[in-house]
Amino acid sequence: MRSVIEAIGLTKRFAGLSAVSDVSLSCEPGVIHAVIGPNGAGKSTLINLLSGDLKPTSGKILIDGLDVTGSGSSQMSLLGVGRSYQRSNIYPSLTVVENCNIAVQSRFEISMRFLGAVSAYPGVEVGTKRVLERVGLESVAHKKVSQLSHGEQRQVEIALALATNPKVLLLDEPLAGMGAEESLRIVELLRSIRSEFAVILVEHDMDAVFALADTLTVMLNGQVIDAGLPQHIRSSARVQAAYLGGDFSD
Amino acid sequence: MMLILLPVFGERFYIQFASKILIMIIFVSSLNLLVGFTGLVSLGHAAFFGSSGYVIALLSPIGTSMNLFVALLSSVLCVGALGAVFGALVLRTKGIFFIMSTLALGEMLFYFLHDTAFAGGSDGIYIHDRPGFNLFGWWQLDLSNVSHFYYLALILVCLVLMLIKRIMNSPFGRVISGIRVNEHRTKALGYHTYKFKLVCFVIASMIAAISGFLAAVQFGVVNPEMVGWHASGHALMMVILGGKGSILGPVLGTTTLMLVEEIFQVATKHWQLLTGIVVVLVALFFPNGLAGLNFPKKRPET
Repeated sequence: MRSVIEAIGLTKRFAGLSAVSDVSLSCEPGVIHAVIGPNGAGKSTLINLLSGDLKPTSGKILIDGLDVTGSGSSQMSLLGVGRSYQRSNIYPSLTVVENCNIAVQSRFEISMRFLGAVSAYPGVEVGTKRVLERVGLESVAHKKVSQLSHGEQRQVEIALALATNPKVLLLDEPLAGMGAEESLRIVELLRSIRSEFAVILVEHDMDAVFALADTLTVMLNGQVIDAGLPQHIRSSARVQAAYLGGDFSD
Repeated sequence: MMLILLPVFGERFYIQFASKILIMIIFVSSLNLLVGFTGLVSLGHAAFFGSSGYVIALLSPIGTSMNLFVALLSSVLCVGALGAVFGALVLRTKGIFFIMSTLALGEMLFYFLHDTAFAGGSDGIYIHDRPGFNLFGWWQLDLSNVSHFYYLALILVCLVLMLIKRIMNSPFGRVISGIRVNEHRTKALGYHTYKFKLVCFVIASMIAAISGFLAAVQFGVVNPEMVGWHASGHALMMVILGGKGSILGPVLGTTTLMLVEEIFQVATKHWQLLTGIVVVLVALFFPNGLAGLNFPKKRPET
């Protein structure tokens, strides 16, 4: 199948340091492509490049085969790239419903209307309700996000990404800081929605990664050191060396 | 009810003073739309308040009176255009730089009006014939009549508060709340936030124009003080005193501060010192402002 998102030779340098160098990967609809590697490997930078939060120093990003390199985060979102952040990046002082309203509304041409109430636009109401059902937050829909547990806030984070109806979902450590039970709930959630999106997943929880990933890319010091199917990665000597702290080139 | 009956029983001075408070409520509410609802702290908002007064003073013909609606609409539209130009410039900056650039533009306008002969210099301009409105020949609205003026101000306050409430419940309101709480995420959700902030800035300048229009018409005079940063700062103090980000906040903040100032002014020469103490006490004990008093549970900001 044709890939929805493709990175070709993506490189990002910060004042001499190459956070990401020459990374290529792609993802098709219905596929979960996990990116793993030790801390500082450049995984989050890679996500930030793909989402438009950062601009690459060189390399290309294609969406549906179209070159969109250099687009900012709002353009990328409109092109169909939804993302979640490693540290919750949501609206703490607003309610869960209001959080989702903002995200859902971004796909309708109504956000400049300032006289009618939000509830007068059924598209927004229905979209909000659907996304809340999906992530299982209906029971706390009218609570302020700051009053929710950490796990629930992570669910809001994912809800915001889903609510924009993306083609590509970039998930930056969706399980960060979660307990075992909460993690399980998110893994279940991702499993139930996987068929609709091309998912690029950065995650440290290896049980979750191997439970979900169809294909993997392993990074170390900004470079791809190996890529392939889960069984290949599991037995890769280079990957084991990287995780044990050794320098694989030795 | 008391507000409606005030002109029937009240003395001229009190009616005028109440009208002044109503005018300030409109101005402070417009600033609150920026500061409290969108998270844009402006120190130049009086530019719109004052320039609206200047527009009406310059447009008013001598000898005849302008139609109220034409006059009000032309003030609001001219100031809206000014708001678009100012907003387009200042919204390119963020945080402290935004505050400084609003201050700078406001002061530029102040010195332009103060130091050139274009609009009467430091003395300002008088409006000899106030705008009026004639209802089919059997009723004449006369804005030099304090009761007529009071009712006009009261109606406009209600309309403005209703408008702001509607804005905050609308899709547009959701996006500007989003910009206030987390602009980065709002961008990442596909919004061109600059556009939304600009529209909000223009709306706020147009509402400020309504108050500036009333202020100019009340005493029939405009002067450069109306655009200066003192006026902006005064309004900002009322926003914070009342509780930013609440519809009722500007009403409480403005009324309280203006009453306190008036009482202290009568009592002592050092009224500003006493007013300052009151403001500091409120800021210390009610961090959410006076509007946060009755429903502290509604605003647990984090």
